[in-house]
Amino acid sequence: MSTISIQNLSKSYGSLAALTHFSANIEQGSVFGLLGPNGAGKTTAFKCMLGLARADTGTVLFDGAPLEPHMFERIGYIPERSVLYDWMTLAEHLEMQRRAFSRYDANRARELLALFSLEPRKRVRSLSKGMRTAAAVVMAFAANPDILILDEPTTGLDPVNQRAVLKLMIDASAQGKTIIFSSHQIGQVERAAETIAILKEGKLLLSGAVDDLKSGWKIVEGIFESDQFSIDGISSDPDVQRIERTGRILRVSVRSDSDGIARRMTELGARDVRTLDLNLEDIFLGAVEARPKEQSLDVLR
Amino acid sequence: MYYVEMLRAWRVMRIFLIILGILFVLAIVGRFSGHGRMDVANQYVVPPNARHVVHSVAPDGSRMTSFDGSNGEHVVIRTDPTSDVQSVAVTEPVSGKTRPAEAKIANVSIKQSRHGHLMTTVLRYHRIPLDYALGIAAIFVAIFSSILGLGLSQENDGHLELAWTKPTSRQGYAASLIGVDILAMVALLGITVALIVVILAMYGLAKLIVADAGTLLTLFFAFAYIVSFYALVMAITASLRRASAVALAILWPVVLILPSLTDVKWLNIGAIVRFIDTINPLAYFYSLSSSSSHTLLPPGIGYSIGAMAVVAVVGFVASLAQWRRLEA
Repeated sequence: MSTISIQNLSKSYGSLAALTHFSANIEQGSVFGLLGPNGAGKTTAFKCMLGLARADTGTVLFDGAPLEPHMFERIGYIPERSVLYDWMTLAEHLEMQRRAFSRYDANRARELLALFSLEPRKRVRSLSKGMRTAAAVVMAFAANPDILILDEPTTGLDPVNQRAVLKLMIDASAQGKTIIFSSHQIGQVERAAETIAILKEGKLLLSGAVDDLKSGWKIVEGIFESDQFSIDGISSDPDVQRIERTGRILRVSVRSDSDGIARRMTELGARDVRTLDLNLEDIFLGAVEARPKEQSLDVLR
Repeated sequence: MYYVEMLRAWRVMRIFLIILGILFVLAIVGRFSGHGRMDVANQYVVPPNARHVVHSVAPDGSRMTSFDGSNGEHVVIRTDPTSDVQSVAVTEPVSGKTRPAEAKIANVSIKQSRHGHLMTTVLRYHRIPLDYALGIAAIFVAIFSSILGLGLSQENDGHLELAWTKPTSRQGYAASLIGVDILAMVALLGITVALIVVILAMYGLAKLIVADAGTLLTLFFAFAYIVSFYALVMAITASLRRASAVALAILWPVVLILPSLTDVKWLNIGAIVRFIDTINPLAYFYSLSSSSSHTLLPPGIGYSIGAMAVVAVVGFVASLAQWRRLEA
């Protein structure tokens, strides 16, 4: 049980469409990153997948079967906010997991506690936000699930622990576990995720393998003498997806003919023109800020 | 799945055990600070001017003391060998014509004979039915059960993601929570009754405690009372989050006051209250100590137990229905 098929998932809260016709297929052993600005519908998507919120439409199948309570034996979930019991100790939370999940690994739990320097006798109310996140990570991974659904699993963690969580995810994926996660740290997603989906206002803007999304796209960046420069012939180019103008710097996302755009930039007076590979941040910003290029330029100006 | 509720119930129970502990300490202090042992033997003192004082033992083992008083009355004190319960029978001559008559008020019975004698028998030291201990314990445990009744609402207050991602159904989770709470309530009921008995024993009153077939019925009543109260609180608060504590704070005075309003005739309030009180477990408790009913049902412990069982079942069904519909 690890291939997850999400079809046409929609959820509204009153008049607010939190998620609209979201579909995705997540293969066993893959790492799937869900990106989007705040309020994009990532958490709603996770909740609908796990039956924590009732979807208005759509289906979620785990290896072809709808979710049943017993399947949680093999699903680990870290919610966006802490849902731990303030009055319980970490040790009691782990005992709760041990009693609930037959695959719970006590040795693994001890290792993870040590990794995050967590003191099991401490009550949750005395833990910082980051430590609570770390505790949730320990609980999820110690249950040894096949599927990990992690909603911003690095929130509040320091860079060292963020890196540790990322490594846990990558290691788990290498062991054949399926990871679905969301994060505002695009660098983390880029490092861990093989496939991504980008949501905005509940709608799926873009999805696919990170490498596929990057291929064929380039960034052409040029520096002008002053911040008063023309972009004639660039904004009208059909291959240009996004133009970002910051002071004397012009940054253009372009498909296929990057050399042509670089030449045009030089003709317009730019010096230090260089062509870069697209990164996930560019893909993300390109997707969530997508608007008619002229309008985009107006805003950027 | 029951682990969290086990910890939560224990956390609340500790407070109640501390209260019981304080009461126990106070009882010990009282026992050894002058009130002393309430020894039921030799309580009735034979007056110094008594005549013809005779001490004997009856065939059934009862200790008998008889004497004549200064006003011509004949007194017989009979002391039960097992319970030390005394009956004091005073027979006195009555002038004028009399006819046979008999009356009994509480622990005093009066019997007038045709021959101009009036016998007044006072049973000293009533026996103490275990039912009283059960009643007191049930009220105490009802407070405990009303707090435990907030269990689903406390889960709803930010922990549903944790509760519902366990390999069990929502109903299964709720059922295990309810099961743990009921066990905790029964345990506290038992502990409280045992403590009352121990305190009575400390004061030398253990022999007076009696239990009969009616006690079993009272036990059922106490159980139905605490469980129905628990279910009522749960049904009211299952969909709430932090507001559940406020709801409970309002509920208690309401259930306490309502039964006292059943006789209000103004604007037909009494009838309305009686209707509402049919789902108020405390109204059945009021009915237990009086011959009148505070609900739509006729008085009687059997009706009360049945009604509270229905309240409990309906309360649980309503709670589970809400629990299933919640969203994290």
